[in-house]
Amino acid sequence: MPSRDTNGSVVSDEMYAQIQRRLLESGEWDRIYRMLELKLNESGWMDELHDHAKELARQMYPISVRKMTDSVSSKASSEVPENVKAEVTAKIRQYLDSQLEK
Amino acid sequence: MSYTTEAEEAGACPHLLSTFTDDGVRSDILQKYRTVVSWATSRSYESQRPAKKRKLSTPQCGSCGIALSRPFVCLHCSYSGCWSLSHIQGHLSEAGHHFCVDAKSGSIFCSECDDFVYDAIISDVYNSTTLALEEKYTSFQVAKKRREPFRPWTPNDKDTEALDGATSLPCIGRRGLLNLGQTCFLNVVLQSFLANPLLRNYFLSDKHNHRLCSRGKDCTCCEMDTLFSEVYSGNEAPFGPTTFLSTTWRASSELSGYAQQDAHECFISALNQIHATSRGSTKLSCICIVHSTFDGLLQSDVKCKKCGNVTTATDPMLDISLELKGKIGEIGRNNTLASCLRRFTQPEELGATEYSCDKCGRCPASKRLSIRKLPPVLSFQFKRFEYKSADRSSAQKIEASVRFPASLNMAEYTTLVMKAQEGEREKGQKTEGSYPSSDIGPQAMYEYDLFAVICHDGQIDNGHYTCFARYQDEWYYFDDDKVTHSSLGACLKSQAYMCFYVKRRLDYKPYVTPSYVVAREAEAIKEKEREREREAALTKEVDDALLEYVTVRRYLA
Repeated sequence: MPSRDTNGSVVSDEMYAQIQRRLLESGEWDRIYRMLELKLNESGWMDELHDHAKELARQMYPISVRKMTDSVSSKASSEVPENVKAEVTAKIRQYLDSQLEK
Repeated sequence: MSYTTEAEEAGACPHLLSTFTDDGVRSDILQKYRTVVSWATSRSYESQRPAKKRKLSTPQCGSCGIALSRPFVCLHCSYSGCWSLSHIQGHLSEAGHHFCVDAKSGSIFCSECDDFVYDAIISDVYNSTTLALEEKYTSFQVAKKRREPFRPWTPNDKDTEALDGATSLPCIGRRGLLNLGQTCFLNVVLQSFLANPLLRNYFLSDKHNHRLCSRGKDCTCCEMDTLFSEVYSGNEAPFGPTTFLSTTWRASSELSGYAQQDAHECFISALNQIHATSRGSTKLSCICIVHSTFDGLLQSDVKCKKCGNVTTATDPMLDISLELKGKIGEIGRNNTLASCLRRFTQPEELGATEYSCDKCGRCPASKRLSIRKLPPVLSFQFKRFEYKSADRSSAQKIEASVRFPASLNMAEYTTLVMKAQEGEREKGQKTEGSYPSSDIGPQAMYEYDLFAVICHDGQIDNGHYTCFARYQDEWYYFDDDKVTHSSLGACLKSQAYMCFYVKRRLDYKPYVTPSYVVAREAEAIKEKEREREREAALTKEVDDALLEYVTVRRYLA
């Protein structure tokens, strides 16, 4: 089912899948991921989550992967610093632009 | 059978244990596991090297067809799939397969337990597979030598005999240290030493036994040995490091007296004393425990702005002191360890009066610091105390907080990476956020983990030192004699004065018998030879005496 991206243009599932595949095959995915990792660590996001997960696990009995992932994931996505989001989004956009030229 | 019950009691997955009882199935699963982990690890190394026309292998989800960024691979068949969309879980239940592996982390998921499970054998396979690949992808600058491969220690017959006769003790040592009168500055330094894995291993390996030391008095190494023995003795009551203190006073008079002292000065002074009292320590290229642990190399490159000529100088360093103030004395608001390190390694302009080029004479230049050699333990000091006058009577403390991470990657501050990035910039290639294509080795070789933090609260003259230290994965808070269980979060929120990081990978050479052991064995052989000669000489004397006696008797008869 076609969906609209933030610019309002139509992005089909097929197009998304193709871009995903190209990102991975070229290694660009891994490079962007690595950049994200470094920036998230420097902002303290990683340590914040690590501590939250650890202390949550300490209090949880019996410990459940599902409960842990739910709690940690929601905190993780809501706490990404704006500047990190902006920088990585820009990098992805840069890649997409280069692909659309082809 | 008894191993299985023990493991079950410890919380191991019963399904994995029962599956592993069949040797054939077990070896198939381990082989598949090894292949998946190998594939994922190699792929991540390959992806860091930008190459234009290369296509990295990218599996597709068996259910939705999308290219997998985080494949979960079934250990029973060729299916791999998405975790977040629950496709892999769907496959496991439909096909009746139990186990799948997260290719990136090597974690095994059991569909019956509906949980990730731990197994010691799997963990071993993961570690040995990833390490072997890491070694393969590490190339060196020197003489094209490959990295020394890791070999696990296997006890020989003598070792086995010794181990069979030995009693194992839990290797946990945490004791508070009594404040002997404003000595919290010493206590925090000692706690950072106790939490230091390399120092701990050295002294617990009996490398400097205070009962056998020939130095007798005022040996700081003996004091360290005593400290480790006391803390690992099993006695949990607080310990008073009185002899350590008096030895320190006698060695450094500036640290004596009952006034509050600077923990960083005490740290440096203690390192110098331990070095001085170590057997075999030398002035240059010393391999004593202090230098083996803390010694790094700082490089300074001065580039002439006119002709581009670069003068390089290297200096050894035991730790890194970081400014909190900028060039014009401003204190930033969002200080992080990374921003301090960037400031430390950023190019600094030198005026024409400060520099003289060999070719051009006096002219402006730019100077840049970088780390040439990373030490196994990296210590940072944040320069919080500003002394206005030489006699330390007036001073100010900079209270600004600095955020520091639990894990640190030092790559971008090393000479190797900085030079590679400069090279790429000159060629007009993008470097932001990516790694230079020239080989800088696996990231793991630049990674460090925080293990101790020294904090200072209050003013310069009536403040208090406390510290946080990590033992395995748990953090503890040390306030002189009071030790409490803490958390990573509490540690990272504290106002740090000094931070200690330990390298994730240690570099080692092929094993050679240490020179003192070779000398000792040669001496033992010489001693045996001398003994033989003495006995031979004695026997000869007896024979001669006997001969004389017999001759005399015959003569008299």
